[in-house]
Amino acid sequence: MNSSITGSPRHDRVASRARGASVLAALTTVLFISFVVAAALVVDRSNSDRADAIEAGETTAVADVISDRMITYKELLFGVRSAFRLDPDLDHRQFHSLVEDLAPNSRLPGIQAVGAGTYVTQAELDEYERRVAASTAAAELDYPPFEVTPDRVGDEFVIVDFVEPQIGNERAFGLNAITGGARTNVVFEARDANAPIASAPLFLISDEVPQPAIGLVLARYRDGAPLDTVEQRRDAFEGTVYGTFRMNEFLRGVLRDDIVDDILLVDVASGELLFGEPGGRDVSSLDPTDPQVAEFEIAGRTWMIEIDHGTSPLSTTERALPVMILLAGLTVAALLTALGMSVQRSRRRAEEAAADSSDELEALTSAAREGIITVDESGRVVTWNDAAVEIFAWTADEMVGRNARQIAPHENAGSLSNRFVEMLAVGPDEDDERLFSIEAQHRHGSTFFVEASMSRWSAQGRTYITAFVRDITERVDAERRNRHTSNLLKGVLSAATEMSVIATDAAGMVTVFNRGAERMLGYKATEVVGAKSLADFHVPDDLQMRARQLEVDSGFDALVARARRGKAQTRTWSYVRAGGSLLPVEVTITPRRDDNGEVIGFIAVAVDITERLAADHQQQQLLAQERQMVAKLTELDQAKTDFISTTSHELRTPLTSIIGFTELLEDDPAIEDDSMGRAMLDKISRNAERLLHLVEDLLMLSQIESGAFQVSKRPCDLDRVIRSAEESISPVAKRAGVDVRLELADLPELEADAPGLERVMLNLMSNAVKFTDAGGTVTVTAASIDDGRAVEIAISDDGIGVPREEIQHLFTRFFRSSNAENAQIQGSGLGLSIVQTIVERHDGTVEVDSVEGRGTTFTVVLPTTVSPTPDRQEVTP
Amino acid sequence: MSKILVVDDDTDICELISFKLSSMGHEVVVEHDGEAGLAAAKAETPDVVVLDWMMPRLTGLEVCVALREDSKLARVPVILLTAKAQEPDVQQGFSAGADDYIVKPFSPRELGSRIDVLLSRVRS
Repeated sequence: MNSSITGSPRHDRVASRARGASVLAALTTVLFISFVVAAALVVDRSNSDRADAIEAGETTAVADVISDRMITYKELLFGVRSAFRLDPDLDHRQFHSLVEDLAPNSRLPGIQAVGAGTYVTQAELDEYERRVAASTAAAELDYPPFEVTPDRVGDEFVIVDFVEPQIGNERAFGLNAITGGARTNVVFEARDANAPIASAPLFLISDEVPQPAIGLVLARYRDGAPLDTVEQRRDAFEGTVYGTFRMNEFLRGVLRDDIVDDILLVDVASGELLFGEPGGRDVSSLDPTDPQVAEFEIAGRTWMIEIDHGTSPLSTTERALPVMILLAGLTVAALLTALGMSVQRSRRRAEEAAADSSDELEALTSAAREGIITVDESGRVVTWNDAAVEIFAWTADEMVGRNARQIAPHENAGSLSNRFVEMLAVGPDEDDERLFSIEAQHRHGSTFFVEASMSRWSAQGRTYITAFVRDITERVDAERRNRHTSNLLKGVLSAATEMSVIATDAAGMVTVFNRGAERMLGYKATEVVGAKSLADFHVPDDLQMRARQLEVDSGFDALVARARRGKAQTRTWSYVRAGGSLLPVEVTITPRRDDNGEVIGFIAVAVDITERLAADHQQQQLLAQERQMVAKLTELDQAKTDFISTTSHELRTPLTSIIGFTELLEDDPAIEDDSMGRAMLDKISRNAERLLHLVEDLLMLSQIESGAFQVSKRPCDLDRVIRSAEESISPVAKRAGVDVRLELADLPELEADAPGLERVMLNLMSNAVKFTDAGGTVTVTAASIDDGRAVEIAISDDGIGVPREEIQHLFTRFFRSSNAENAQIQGSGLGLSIVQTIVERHDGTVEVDSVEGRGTTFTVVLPTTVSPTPDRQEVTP
Repeated sequence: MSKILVVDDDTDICELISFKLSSMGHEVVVEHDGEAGLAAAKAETPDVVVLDWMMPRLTGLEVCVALREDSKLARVPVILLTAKAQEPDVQQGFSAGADDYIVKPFSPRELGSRIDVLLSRVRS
């Protein structure tokens, strides 16, 4: 098994546990190491304490040795004092012997001199000096002449008058010891103490190269004097005995060489070095608490000794102990850690293996299409797989640990419990698997059916039941639907009395013949099913024809050929009823296929279309009628147009003769002299013209009335139109004695009905002429306006005009102004109406302005075709 | 001296035209229906034909078309002289091949001038 289903939660848990263990191990190791380190430190500390103690012990021992040896020197002084007490007149020869006997150099290493001093006052000084000088001379010991040094100033003197050996100590002989400094201090201290007192480090005068030395001084008192108090002592003070010794030699004589080299000896009070090599250190900073350092009293002075032990007093083994502890401890820690890690790893591997197999199991149950639900003995859900989630909509988190009861609807919960209990109660030998179906409840409340197979098993002393659950809703639904459909079908078939449903097998034999078919065709189902073919109900000729069309064998094939190939085919046929009568039907034939798509039969649904045919027929009749009517109306229309045309023709023809012959007569030379005759001809002619004008107006009016009046717009030369109209009116104008003037500007192109516009011009000019007296003028102006967007034509006269209140009526049909009536001006009253109509058809306007007695102006505005441009080209006529 | 064929179903108008044209010095042949007119044209080969439009048997328009189809008569000037005064009629007339179109009632003087113009055109 491949053990890396990494990333699964189980593995994550294993990993985190491992991490936890590692952390724990690390902590333990750290603690252990800390403990080891602590132990090592403790041992080290103890070692160092021991070392200190040893060292301190050694130091103290050395100090004691020094102290002890100092006693010898003290004894010396006591001895010398005793000698002086016994013989106050001790002379120098005796002193010399005494000192020699004491053999200082072997017993008292370092002794520089042994001497004595006498306390003398200033008064006694001279006497003293003489006496001592005499004594020394008498001794014959090669003493230098006795002399008090450095001077004889002062009240008191303590003069060194004995010193042995003389050699090397010559300068001391006769020296006043209390001239100041350490020497003086020690003398006074000794005087006060009645005990040997050591001085601060001295640098002996005798020395060429100063070495530290100590003076030990014991005071001499008057024999028999009380010496209990300092006062008494001072009072009894007679002099001193002293010894000076070099520290260097002293110590070398007292201690082993190996120790002496490690010693630093310091006089505490003065802070001065008594012995040793400080090596640059400040000797006053010696710390008495340091185990290598000891403080001790020597003859009234405090000394500090340091012994630099250098090497540890402890043995190598002892010293190594902390390190060994540390190393051992670390080694142990490392070993333990390694061991722990190895244990950890193998544990982890085991855990991962377990996790892997759990993961696999989980994957299996996840992938399972069936819901897998495991419950324990009390009915609590232990596992709930993904499929269960899908089926019930409860999630694993929601179900695990809860009672499984809630997946059964309330009323069925009991039933589920029963099964469950039953399951648990199954004996060990009995078949412990069960299969059953039950109604379950979806989380959202709806109920549905499931099939479950339960099995019981045990693990670790516990009993579990696992159910494999399948949602059988679909199956149940499908079954229901099937039943439903088949019922529906039956219902439909029986109900459909208006439709004939005939089902056949693949060969055409009738298998179903419904009520509708019975009714429509007049056969009973029992007669037909299994006995007749679908083709039997069709007219044979029809089938033959169709068969020819489709190029198949006639009969049933002709019916179903198309349906067999495609889906449904609808066609009109005639069914043959029982009895032979025909029934027009529309038939839809559908193939029935099995699951593989093979045709296993046909269904022919037929609808009686008798009524429909009748309706169609009726519709066609109506249609024909409509067409007739339309034709008639068109005829009427045509007739109207023809009428106008005919009438026009009929009216014009006689006028042609009248006007024509009249003209001929006018031209006949014979009439030249007959002025009366000419006048009569003129009247005939004028009236004929008038009649013609009237006819044209009437015809135009009837055209407008019938709607036959059309304006056909074409590019029109307005200039020519106006001039043409003027030409027509010219004879009339001449006869009336009216001057017609044209003032035409450059006129733009116009889309217009030229004859129509000519009529307009003619009518307006004619009116103008009629309403103007002889000698008057009619002016026609035309120009483009509004940037070439329109043309304005004005016809003005200076005639009789029209009363103001009548202006609005001018364009009314048949209206004649009162002025016209009064002036007996002839007219039909149609002219202006016609003008208005034609102008309006050109999207133009016509207006009139008139002043009675002054004149009238008609203004026609017609829009042009051309859009306005600043520079207009000249329109060539 | 030219031969002018006049075809009109109104006898008065025929007389009117005939009188005028004769007084101008032309020879005038008169017919009163389209068929007769066409036959006369073919027989007489006139210099100008004056045709009325609305006539029995053959209309002036039909005669005009027929004349244009006749190779001998195709170049003969034809004047349509008719009461049909509408714009479309005029167009139709010219489409049929008429050289001129005069609306009734007309001035005989004018007719005379127009015929002269046509004749002079033919000559040149």
